[in-house]
Amino acid sequence: MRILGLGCHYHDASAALLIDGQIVAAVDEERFTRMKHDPSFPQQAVEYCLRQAGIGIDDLDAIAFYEKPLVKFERLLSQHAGHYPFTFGTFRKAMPSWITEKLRLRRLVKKKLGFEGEVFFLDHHLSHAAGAFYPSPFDEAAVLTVDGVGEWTTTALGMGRGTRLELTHEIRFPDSIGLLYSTVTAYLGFTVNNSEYKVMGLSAYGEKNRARNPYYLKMREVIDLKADGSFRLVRSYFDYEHAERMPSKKFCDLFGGPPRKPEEPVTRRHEDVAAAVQLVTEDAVFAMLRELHRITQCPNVVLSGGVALNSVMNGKILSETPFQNVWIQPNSGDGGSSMGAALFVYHALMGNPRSYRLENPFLGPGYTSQEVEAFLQERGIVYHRFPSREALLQDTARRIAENEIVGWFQGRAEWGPRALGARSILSNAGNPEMRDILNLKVKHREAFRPFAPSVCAEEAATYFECDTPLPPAADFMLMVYPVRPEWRDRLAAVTHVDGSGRLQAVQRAQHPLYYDLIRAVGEVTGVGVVINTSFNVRGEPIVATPEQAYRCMMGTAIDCLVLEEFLILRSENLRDAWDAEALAGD
Amino acid sequence: MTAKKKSRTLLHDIWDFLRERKAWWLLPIVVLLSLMGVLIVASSVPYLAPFIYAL
Amino acid sequence: MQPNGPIRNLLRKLNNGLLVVLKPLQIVNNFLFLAVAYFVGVGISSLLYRMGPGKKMPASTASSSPSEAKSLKADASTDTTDTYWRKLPQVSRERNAWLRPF
Repeated sequence: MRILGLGCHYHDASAALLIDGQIVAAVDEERFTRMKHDPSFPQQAVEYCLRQAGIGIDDLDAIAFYEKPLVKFERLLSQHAGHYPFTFGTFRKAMPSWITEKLRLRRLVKKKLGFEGEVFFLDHHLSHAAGAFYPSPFDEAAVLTVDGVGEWTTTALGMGRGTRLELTHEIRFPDSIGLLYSTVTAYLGFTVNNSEYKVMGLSAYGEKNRARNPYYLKMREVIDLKADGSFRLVRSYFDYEHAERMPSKKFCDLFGGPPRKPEEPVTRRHEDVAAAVQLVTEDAVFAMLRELHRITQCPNVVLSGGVALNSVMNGKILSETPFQNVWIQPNSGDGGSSMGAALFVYHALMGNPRSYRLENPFLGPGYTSQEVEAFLQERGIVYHRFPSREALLQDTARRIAENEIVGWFQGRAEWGPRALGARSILSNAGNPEMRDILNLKVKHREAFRPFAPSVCAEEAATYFECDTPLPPAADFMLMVYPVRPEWRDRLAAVTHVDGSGRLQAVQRAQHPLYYDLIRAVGEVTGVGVVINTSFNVRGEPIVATPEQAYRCMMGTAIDCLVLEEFLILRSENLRDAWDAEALAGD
Repeated sequence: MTAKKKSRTLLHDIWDFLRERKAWWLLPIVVLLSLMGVLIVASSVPYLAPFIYAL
Repeated sequence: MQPNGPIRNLLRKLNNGLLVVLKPLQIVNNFLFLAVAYFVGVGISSLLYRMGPGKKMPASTASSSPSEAKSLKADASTDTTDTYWRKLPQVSRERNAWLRPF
């Protein structure tokens, strides 16, 4: 049985291929088109999935689409009808793509993929829920989905048992925690649907005491939050229902001024507003989780939706709610829904038993040594081949220990927005200066954004005050925990201003080479932690091909590239150097 | 499983949708869009800018 | 995919040429068509929408029949309730319900 899951037309288009119950390939379209969060039809992602499995489009039994387009269309038109005649501008821009593509998914699938079999349409939040529950390690789990908006649903509670999965409660548009967070993202001058994580990073600088944060109570004014986690947003504070902006004038007045312009400096007020929305999001989600536990009495919970990428919140789930286990899939935003759609059709509709666990997030394209060497030779790039795996580990660990910045391209690419050791830029976490060095030479990030540490799973508790046993979601860099006070100075480069770190706990079975590298670094430096940041030019998606990795190294100040078993030094290839920062986006 | 269904047209889907959900208020816009849709060759209209999430 | 005969080639070039000439016209036309669709279509829809019984609470995304939608309407919360959760009907949908885009 072969089922292809598809998600597209909103943001983070993706494809995932399920063969006999196993996900064999899954990738976001952005990795191919090089457009961040690309929403377009995932043609190249599909082609990759089929190529990886060695099958053709006619070999598929079904396609599962992650949404009910007509229902979403209804929601959209009701927004226009409700705010007529003030929405012509957005109507004019949105309608052509609805008429030609979004409503005609079946035709599009036939035209672009040549597929004439059955296309299943799932509800957006059901796809989210399926993407969280079916690949989880749990036979039974309570399910919470929270995002901006799907068709109508913005938040849903549910329960999964074996192959059955049901959503039992929902909250609908325009009441949405995701949209509240995005409204604050826009208000603070960052791009919506992209930079919510910057607000999360900024929130650590703000006042986190609810009684002392001057904006916390104001933030609670814009949302009517019940004790059971259900809520409504107070409409007058939001314009997103009918205009191309999110916060209303009343919202701006409440928070003490107009939206920050991107070039304006970030002030204490912005930090406190960011902290306030983070606190309110946590209030709401933890209340929802407590209610979900009360209803289901299940010790396990899985989360999905864009809000479940909020790792600061995730790190507190087990301590703030009665749940004992938590799992979140690595691509828990809309990208992961294609996988959920395929799994739902296979298990819930066709009744097939579960056998798949998403323990290994490396489901994207990879390259053989022969392919890499052919590329290096064709481009005339100066390179070295490591004589052995041991030599690769020793040499790379030494370079990291000597504060070099290492591009690391190994195996198949990660599923989801985080670099997890397949397409990463690595550096020395034991050097407190490294954050500044990285920012100066490569990343050029806002100063308030922290870098993430990778650590061998067994050693996580040495450096972090984490839950024990460590939840598997920590494997995917989805949980933030406090760095142990005795390590904070030494690990300054990965310790956020509030003493926390967004760690990735690496299991050896997931990526043996990466795991062994972290160990090797630990042996040289005495600190078994490396800085792991995504391998990309600022504003671009994570690199997907050896060519992009090489180009990224030569456009930034990455010192060397460990590309499969080859070592490429920037200093030996300076003729290809360019300045990525001149072209960098947000 | 692999049996191919008779393919349904979009208008057929929309009609069933309106009927089932009794969403007759949508009919005027659907009719107008259908009429205009025949004439509209959607081209070069990019996806909505990233500053608005919900529309 | 398609035969690449000289006539087809010529037609394609002709078509491309026409597109270049008609493109600006097309943009103006699209604007007009969309304006008509909006101001007439959405206008009338909007009247019906606002005239409808109470503020419309559309059927759940997970519901598959009008009766379920009705039960949800009755469920719709008001500001004085203790909860804003809407219960979803637990009915198993028939296979065909998954094959349609709504």
